[in-house]
Amino acid sequence: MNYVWAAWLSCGVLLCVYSFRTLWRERTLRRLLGKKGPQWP
Amino acid sequence: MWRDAALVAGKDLRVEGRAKVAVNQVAPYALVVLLLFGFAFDQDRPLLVQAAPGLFWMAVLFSGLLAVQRSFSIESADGAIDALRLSRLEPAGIFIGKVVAVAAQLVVLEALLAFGVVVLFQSRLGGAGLLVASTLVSTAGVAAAGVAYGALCVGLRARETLLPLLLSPVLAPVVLAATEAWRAALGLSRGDGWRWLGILACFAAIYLAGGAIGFGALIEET
Amino acid sequence: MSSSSSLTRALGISALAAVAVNAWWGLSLSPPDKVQGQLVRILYVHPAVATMCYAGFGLCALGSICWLWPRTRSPRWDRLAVAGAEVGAVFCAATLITGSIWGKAAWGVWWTWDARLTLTAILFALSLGYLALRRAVDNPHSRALMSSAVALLMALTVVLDHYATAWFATLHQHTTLFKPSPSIHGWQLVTMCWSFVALGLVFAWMVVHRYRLEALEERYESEGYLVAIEARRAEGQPVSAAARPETGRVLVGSAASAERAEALVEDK
Repeated sequence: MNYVWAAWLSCGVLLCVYSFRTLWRERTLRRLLGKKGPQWP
Repeated sequence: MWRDAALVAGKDLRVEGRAKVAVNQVAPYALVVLLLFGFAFDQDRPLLVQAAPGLFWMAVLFSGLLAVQRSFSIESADGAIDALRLSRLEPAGIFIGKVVAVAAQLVVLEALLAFGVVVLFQSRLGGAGLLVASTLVSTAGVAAAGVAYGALCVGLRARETLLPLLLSPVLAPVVLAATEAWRAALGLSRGDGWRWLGILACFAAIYLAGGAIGFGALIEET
Repeated sequence: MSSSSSLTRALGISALAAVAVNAWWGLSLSPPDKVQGQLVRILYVHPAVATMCYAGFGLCALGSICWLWPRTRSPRWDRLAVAGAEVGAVFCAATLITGSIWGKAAWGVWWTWDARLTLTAILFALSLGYLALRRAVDNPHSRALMSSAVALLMALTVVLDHYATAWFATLHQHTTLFKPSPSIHGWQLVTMCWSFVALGLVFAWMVVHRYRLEALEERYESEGYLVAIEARRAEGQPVSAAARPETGRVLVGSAASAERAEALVEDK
């Protein structure tokens, strides 16, 4: 059963980390290029 | 196209004849790699004989990377690649010419390496027809893929590290099939060597055709 | 400043819910297998992840072909290609990890030179090369051209690799699900099919977001320098007495620069 947990968790962690990274980059870019006019950080 | 190819191949080989980079640097490097394989296997002679085809093709892969890099570093110096672009030579001809030049250097190198394998690992070469055919076909494949990706990387940042990363996994089927063909030729395995030769021929055909078609567009972009 | 539309939010929430159901069914509700025992629960994630990996690379190949074809050439296809390749690479890594855990548990080794394993590893290396190439080129047109050419050549390499590795060694289990009479039953079959649905939703959500991110990055590449120029210009301008306090000055400067940058963009 340990192997099962290891497989599920590693897969879940990998997908979550990637998703959050994508969302974070998207949010940063949106903030820079927002509707009200782009702003430099 | 063939005349252009001959021109470019002659030019590349003449550059090599004068600079002697492949002779003075790549060939000794390949022999050192063979020596290092000997250290890695701790002088285990039966094991070395068993592994000799694979080690041979790994050495060819490493030195092939260097040969390709050299083939395009002579073009990127002094804006030679711009001259090549403006020369009205046919792109497919340039591609074939460069492939021929790289392949010619590799064939010489392979003869040297085969000699090294016989002397250092005490392999016994045999199955001459299959051996020579598979070597020539896979050399064509390695050179074609190498020149195609070399042209791609020529103008890029970090090309020295990008080229091995792109090319090594692409050459994986060649290393695998050529090793198996050699093992069959040397009598180390019962596999059908001619079937592996088929895969090698497909690979070479794909990269020769793909490179000849796409080379013009690639060289315009870089 | 939200990073999702209502549609992708719905997609994301349903993906999360589907994964939760998948975990519930796969980890507790479905019974252990007669032969494989608890280990069968790895199969409620591994095959679906592997399929999504292939789907990602398939999208990459589709995007590359459509970009290269002159009639359908559009930056959208290039964005689809990069989204497919990157998400595919992530799922490929997950496939290799879950697969080698399965291998350790079922066969006793983390890695074995089986055809499908070897092919997946080569595929992973190829996708890393593709993504590295994209990072090395700045001009969007050359980037799209080079990466789609490489993607096509790599797709052909994969076909050859398939035959080479198949002749090289074969140990992997053959596909059990899509035979005329599936050899698994009841809850196990339902859970396994559901895992494909759940991970398919996750995959779709990821691809949509990665596609959008690529579009945003393209905009940033083309507009970003205007923003930078305007910000520097605003810094250099003399400030009125009313806006003397430091915070006020920054605000005035950035608002003015934003307006000017927008005007510049519209001019262009």
